[in-house]
Amino acid sequence: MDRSFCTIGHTSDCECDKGHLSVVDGKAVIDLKCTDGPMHFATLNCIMRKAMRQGCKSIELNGVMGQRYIASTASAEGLKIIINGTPGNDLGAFLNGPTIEVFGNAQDMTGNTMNSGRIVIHGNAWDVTGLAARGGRIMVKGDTGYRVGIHMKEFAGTRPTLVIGGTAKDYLGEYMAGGTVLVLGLGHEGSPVGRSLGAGMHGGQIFVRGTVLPEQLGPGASISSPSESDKIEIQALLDDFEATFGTKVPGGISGMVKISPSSSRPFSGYYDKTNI
Amino acid sequence: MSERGCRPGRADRRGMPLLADNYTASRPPAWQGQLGGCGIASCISLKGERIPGDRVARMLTIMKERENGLGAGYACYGLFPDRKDQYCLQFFFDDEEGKHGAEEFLSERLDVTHDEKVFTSESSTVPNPHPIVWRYFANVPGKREWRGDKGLSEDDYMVELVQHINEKVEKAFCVSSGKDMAVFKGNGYSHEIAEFYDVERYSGTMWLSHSRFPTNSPAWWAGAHPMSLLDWGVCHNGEITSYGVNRKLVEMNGYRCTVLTDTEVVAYMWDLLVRRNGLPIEVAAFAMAPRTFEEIALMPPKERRLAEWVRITYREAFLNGPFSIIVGRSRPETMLIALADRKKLRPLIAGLSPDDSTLYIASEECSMRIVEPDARTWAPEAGNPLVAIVGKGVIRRGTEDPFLGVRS
Repeated sequence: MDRSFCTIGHTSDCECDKGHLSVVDGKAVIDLKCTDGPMHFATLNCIMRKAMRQGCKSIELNGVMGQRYIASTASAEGLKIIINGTPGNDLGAFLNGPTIEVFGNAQDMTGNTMNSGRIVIHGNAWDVTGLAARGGRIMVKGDTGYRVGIHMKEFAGTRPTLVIGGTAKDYLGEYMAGGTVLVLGLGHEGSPVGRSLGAGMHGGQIFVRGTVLPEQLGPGASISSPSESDKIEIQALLDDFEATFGTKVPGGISGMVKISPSSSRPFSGYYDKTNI
Repeated sequence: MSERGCRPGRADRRGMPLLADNYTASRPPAWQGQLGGCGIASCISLKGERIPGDRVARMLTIMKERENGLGAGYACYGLFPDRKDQYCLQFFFDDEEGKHGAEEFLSERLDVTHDEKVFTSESSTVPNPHPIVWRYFANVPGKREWRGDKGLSEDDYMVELVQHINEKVEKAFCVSSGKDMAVFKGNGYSHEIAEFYDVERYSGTMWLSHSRFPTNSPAWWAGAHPMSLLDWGVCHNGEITSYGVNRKLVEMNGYRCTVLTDTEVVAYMWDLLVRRNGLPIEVAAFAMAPRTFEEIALMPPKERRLAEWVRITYREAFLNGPFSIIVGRSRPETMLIALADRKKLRPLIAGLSPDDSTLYIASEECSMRIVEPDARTWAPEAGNPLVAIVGKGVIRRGTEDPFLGVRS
């Protein structure tokens, strides 16, 4: 039975990388196989930081199995992280620059509050993907779950973008304050998004390829056709999606609807306006 | 910090020695510095083959970030093919006195055909005290009277009996009382409980499992999941914030809440709605995780009528709050039900083996990848039950219309 507890107390000179990390020509490969069960995420992140300190430009992880917080706060310039397996919750939380590519499905809360960088998922990414993202780009080839892109925000020239090849469920872009979400609904009939779409949003925009009925909209969201400048942005995201996954989006830019905030303060009427 | 209570070999999930008795005004029990959330994992053989216990244990233990050593458990169905027509009552006893008291109570009321000690490891790191775990195979006698209440069905009689034991019989607790199934649970980490009962020695057609991160109810042996009554077994991740209302409904229908945990009302609710009131699974699931009236207004007229009827009739069965649950039963068929709340505030992922022989349900995708690397996974929808039956396959994927196949 697994008794797979790795020790804590990682330091810059601890030896947890022994037998796991190999570096050739600035390319690191981390093998997560442990004799006593799955590697703990603290150990994995410690080994990854050791590779980053050595100046590695790529880190490949093999045998990932549910480890949380992979590459959280990683900020090495130009770093590429390749993940083979199933990363755990909060993949790339607070990510600041590097590119993460996952060959498999991601779990919940991918790119939590990411600042900049790029996360590419060659599969599905489940609930709460891209929550509170402040910059960077997340590309999901397959489907996502509930509450995706909630509370994304833009600030001083950084804008998060999230492209979903498949579908999203209810509460997509809830409380969204900035950035762009694009849902393509590939391989799916009917509306690719759920209910309470953009509930309480007061910034940013959601583009959906397919039908969106008025009753799917949450309070504070409105539906319109993309403008010419929107179409330029959508086309750029489509080009990126096609280049990243090597697929062609049939129909291209046609059939898109835009969901945007009906006001910058959708709930202003709910509050007492008395100055305090 | 004193060394009192330090058990060698017991560590929290970061490898720190776990001082089980060290909680103080400034340090809660089993403090780890990191929060979790319960983990649930289940597997069912759709072709009726036997799945060894270490498979579900591997599914559960990989999600160790979700637990904090204050409860874990496993339920095995299709466990006693030679005695599948008899009730199996599995007990915790504090001591021999509790065992004696329960046996005396049972002897006058049940035809016990066989009893045996349930294997428990002597060298476990699970904190003491360990209960004596014993099981009894029994038939319900033809003459069934309960304090003047005559003509009870066998199942109703068993419910009365078990709930009376758990409420009144000192030092004894009946953890499962179904046919062809048993529950193995306790107050430890998932890997500790698997070792404590040596779940590898068992195999069955369906397993449920749960690792606990208790939030608002005490951590104790009987309070671990799965919660079970008759054949029902329920594992639950989340909080039922409507516990008071739900408890009132089950108590008005004769159930007694003895475990101090919201999950037990969920187990009693399934028994009440499905076994006693005869609701189809889809309708019972809708009663517990109903759509909003706004959504109901958009349904076709026939479904809308049924939905409104369910919401009004079973308004107290509405489980409010975040939850994902897995539910098992062995009669009339060995069946697995998975259900998330109507906003899907707790995770639930399903996966099928490449040869379509085994279905997996878990809180996290890694839980099924560790035992079935090439599983085809999908996410059942909010408030939409997934149903699978041994020998029949996946009846609902949890993505269909709410009342598909229900005759109204």
